[in-house]
This record gives sequence, C-alpha cells and structure tokens, in this order.
Amino acid sequence: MTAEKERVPVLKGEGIRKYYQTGGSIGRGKHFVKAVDGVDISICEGEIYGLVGETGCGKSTLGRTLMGLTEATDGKIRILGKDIGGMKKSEITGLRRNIQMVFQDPYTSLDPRQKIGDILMEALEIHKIGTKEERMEAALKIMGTVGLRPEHFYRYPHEFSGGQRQRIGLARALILSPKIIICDEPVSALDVSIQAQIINLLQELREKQNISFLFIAHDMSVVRHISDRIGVMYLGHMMEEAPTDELFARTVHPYSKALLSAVPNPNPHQKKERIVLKGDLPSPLNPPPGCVFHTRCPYATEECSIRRPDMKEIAPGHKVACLKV
Amino acid sequence: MQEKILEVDGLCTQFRTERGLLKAIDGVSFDVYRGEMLGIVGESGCGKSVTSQSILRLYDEKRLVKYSGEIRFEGKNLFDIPMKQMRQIRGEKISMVFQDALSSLNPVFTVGNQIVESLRIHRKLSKKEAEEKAVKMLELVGIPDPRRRFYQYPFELSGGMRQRVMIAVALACSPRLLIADEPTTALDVTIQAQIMDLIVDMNRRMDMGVMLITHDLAVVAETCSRVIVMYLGQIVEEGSVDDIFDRPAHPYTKGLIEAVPKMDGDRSRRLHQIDGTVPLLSQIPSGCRFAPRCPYASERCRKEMPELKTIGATQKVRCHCVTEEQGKEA
Repeated sequence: MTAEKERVPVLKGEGIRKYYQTGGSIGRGKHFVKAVDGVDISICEGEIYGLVGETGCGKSTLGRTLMGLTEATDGKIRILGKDIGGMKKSEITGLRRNIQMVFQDPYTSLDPRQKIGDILMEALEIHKIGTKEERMEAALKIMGTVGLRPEHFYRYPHEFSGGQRQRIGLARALILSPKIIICDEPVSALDVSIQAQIINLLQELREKQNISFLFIAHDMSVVRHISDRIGVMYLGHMMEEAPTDELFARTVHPYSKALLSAVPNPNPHQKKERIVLKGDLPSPLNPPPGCVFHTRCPYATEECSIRRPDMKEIAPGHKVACLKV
Repeated sequence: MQEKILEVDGLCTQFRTERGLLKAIDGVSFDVYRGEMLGIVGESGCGKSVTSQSILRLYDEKRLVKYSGEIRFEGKNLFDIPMKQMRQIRGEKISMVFQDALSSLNPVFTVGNQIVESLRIHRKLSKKEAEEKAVKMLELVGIPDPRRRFYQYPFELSGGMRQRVMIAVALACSPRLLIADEPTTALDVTIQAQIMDLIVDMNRRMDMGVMLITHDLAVVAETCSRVIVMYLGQIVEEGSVDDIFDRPAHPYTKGLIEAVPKMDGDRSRRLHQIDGTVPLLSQIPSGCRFAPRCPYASERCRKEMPELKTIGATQKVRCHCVTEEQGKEA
C-alpha cells in the first residue's frame, strides 16, 4: 500500500517548533519549554499516520499545532499544498475546513448544554453551508455513517456512553467532509470492546471516503494495527519514522526498540527480552544537549552528548535520527 | 495446592441510591492463595474495583453500602469484626496500591513520612528504627538516592517514582495480601514495564498473594498465574492463565481477547468487536447478563441465569452453551 501512496501530502509540517514560555517574572529569567522542537511530518491522501511516544514527548502539541489550535513558534504548515503562513485569517478558516479533530476525552469535548443535532449543525453554520433543512439532513446522514440512530438527534451528551460520545465527536469532525482528521488518543479512554468498534469505524471511513488520519496514541498495538506509517517522538523530536511493517520488522532507533519491547504481550507463552530504560524522561525545560535521548540510551557515546543527529533515510521511507546508524 | 489466605464467599455489595439498592457485586466467590498472582479483569463497571474495596471495607457502611456474604481472612469473617480491628488489618495484613498515586499519597507529608507512619502504627517501631526501615523500603522498590528522596514531597516525583513510593508504603509491613487496583493504567508503557517487574519481584521475594485488578489483558498474560474475568458484577470465567488465553470458554472472554490488537497479528483483518455496551446496573438483563451482546445467545440464555460451573481442573465458566465435554475438548 505504501508505494502507491507517493501522492500529494494533504497536510505537511516543516521544521515545526512550539515553545511555551514559563517564568519570566521579576528576578527570574525567561525559560522555554520546548514541547516540539523542529519536527517534519507529512501525511498523504488516504493515509493513516500513527504518532507515538510517551507522555510529554510533544505528540499532542504537534497535533494541536498542525490543527491550528495553538500557533507554531516556528515552521511551515501546508494544508493541501498551500502554505498557511502569511495567509489572511478568512482564507485560513476556509482551508481549515479540511482539517478536523477528534479529542481524547469524550466527556469534556462535547458541550453538555447542546443537543447532538445542534453540536453537529454548528460546524455547518460557522462555515455558512446550506439552509437549515439541508444542515439537518446532513447531520442525520452523518449520524448514520458513524452508527448513531436518528432519535439521538435531540439528546444531550450526558445521555450517551463513552463509545457513543466518541462517535459523536467523530460525526462532528466528519460533517464538513474534511480531507484529514487529527485524532488525539481517540480510544484510550474507552474499554477494549468499545475501542475495537471505534478502530473498525475509522478504518471503514478511510476506505470509503479516502480520509487521511493523524492518529496520535500511546498504545503501540493499536497504532500498529491501524497505521500505514508510524512516527516515534521523544522529548519534542522525531526519532524514527517508517512504514508500519518496516518499523516492526527492522526497528533501528534505540528508543523505538525500548518502547516496543515494553509493550505487554497478550500471549502468556511468548516471553520476550525487555529493554528497560534507565531513569525518567528529562524535563523539556532543560533538554539534554546533543541527542535528546543520550541520557537514557544504552549505546550513547560522548559524541551523542555533543552533536544533535539529523533524520537520515536508511531505507525507502525509513528515517532515523541517531548518530550510530 | 498452596495455602488459602483469603476466601471470598458469595460477596454481594449493594449501593444505596435514590432509586433503591443497586447490586454492584452479585454473588462473587473466589480464593486467593499464598504467593500467587491473581488477575481480575473486566471492563469499566464490571465490579472489579468494588470487589477489592469491599474486601477492605472501604465504603461508608452507615450510608452508602450494604454488604452480604463472607470474606474470610486468617480464620475471621472480615464483615463480623469491628472497624477498629479492620483498621489494624488494613495496611498491615492486607495492603492496597491505587491507580492514581498523586491523589492517593498525602501531598503535605514527605514520602518518607508516609512509610514511617505505617510502620509506627502497625509495627510500633521507634522513630529512628522506622526511618531506617523506610529508607530501606525506598531502596527496595528501586528508588535511586533513597536518603534524599525520603525528604521529598509527592509532587516532586515523577509518576513512575510515585507509584514506587505507593508500593513501598503498601509493602512496609510485609502484608500477606497486596491488592493492586490498576497500578499501571496511568503510566507509560516503559514505566508500566518497570512497575510490573517490581510487583512480580516483590510477590516472589515476600511470598505474599497479589490481586492484580486491571482492564489490560496483556499485563495479566505476562504476570499472573490465575485469572478471573468479571462482567456486570459477576464472575463469568475463572481459570489458569493458560486456560483463559489458550481455551477461553465464555463468549465474553473470547471477545475480550480477540478485541485487543496483537503485536504480531494480521493487520489487514478487522478487529473483533463486541457489539453494544455494558448495560447500566439499574438495567441488568434477566437471564445471562451477557446475553444481549452475545452472538450465541439463545432463548434459554435470555430467561435463565447460568451457574458458574467447573469445566476443567482449574477452569470455571458461567455459560449455558458450554458443557463439561466442550470444556475438555477446547
């Protein structure tokens, strides 16, 4: 599937940086949390791109920055090939229709005082699409697509279970017929049986409507199942990026190896070697110099603490940021 | 067979609500043996946490909850003893580790203090002895530089370190039974692996029984020897790890195992899904509780509640469709 996916990227980020300022009060210097520090990412049409990493690695910030929920400190974002830097606000809004987002927590991401129908139609109203009747028709149609029943139209979010709410979140994202949906941990708040329902639904949407997904998650087995390509982040940097089968067959970066080896296996007969990393994630306020992973890397040498590795392509589509490769 | 340390017999936990009593646990019976790791799995609302909190009688019995059944520990029924005696058992004989270490540790005491507290109350150690022992405990659970960490507050530690502190607090008095309620759910996989290794290591070293409560089947497969699967307040299947993962008998257990994507699974195949959702406790279906979501449900399943029956040396299942012979074949 990967070879034919050499198509136009629907969403592209080049050298994305997002710094948050902290401190800066009297008597203290300014500090920056480098949440995302120079990441390139591109997602092609109809592709599911899995973004993984541990808490605090910047995967959600990257997603929110690409979505435009926070402004990037530096870097270029292209939507459907158009650079949004220097564009007028109205132009960006028009283009943004093509990117939608589904959030992790289905309990806090829906307005508790709006009925499901209103939540869905609001997006169309903002973009001034259709008459009231047409909007209602569109909302009902999209509810059918995600497996909600028409009578749910007049209900409030609290009347739904977690899985159903995530379907509403997905319907809200789909109603503007976007080209790409950014899903930030869309299934991690759900039980396994419900999780499987949502994952199957996402795959179905991709097949039927050719929508691309940026799938941000920390669960490796879910990401492996759903993604065509996977990017592994650590402390604001992309460590490794490869087509899914390639990444699992030939994991190169020491961090990716450790991350994969830590995933528990639901087969009690397969015991595997586990690579246990020393210590905790360093603070993004004060990231280590050189390769950000060198403080925990079992193979680190002196050079790693001085020079920052660039992403190198070692096989078609397989890029690694490591000096030892 | 090993010595039984805890016997739960016909436990029912009912919560008082505006609309009357809600049965969160309905007739749960199981044993925990010395030195074993027992996994209790199920989805949210299945009653796995309520079971563990009932064992320690953590709910407000005056207003909130009504227990029935028996929980036998060291020859006594825990429901018969006065609260004062119960408090002596908690933390000394039976300890608990919770999911969220940040809200379970006291934010205004240093981590060292919280271990010392337990040792002073239960073991009547002097302050100095207790402090020495607390530092040893911190070292035992793999906290680097334990003397410095002793004086730190919970907010100064990372999530993994906090969970280690919780384990140190729980194990300080060498309990006979450790109840770990989703101990790694809030943690990243790399840290989860470290914490589970620690719990398994402690289980072996201290020869205590561990009840691991989790929704993560993979964690259970890697660490436990016996598994109990719960659904809507009842045990639906019980067996050794091999029973449950190699020859699951209950359709719910099968569904759960297949719904989890495997690291070496076929990616082109759709995930197995269990349709529908877990019903509310106020709307428990008559007959088999899983029948509305079960692909094999028959008329009988909808009318008659199946009993938990033995189908193998170690396996029990609550399903009309499974007969003893089938269990043996599978």
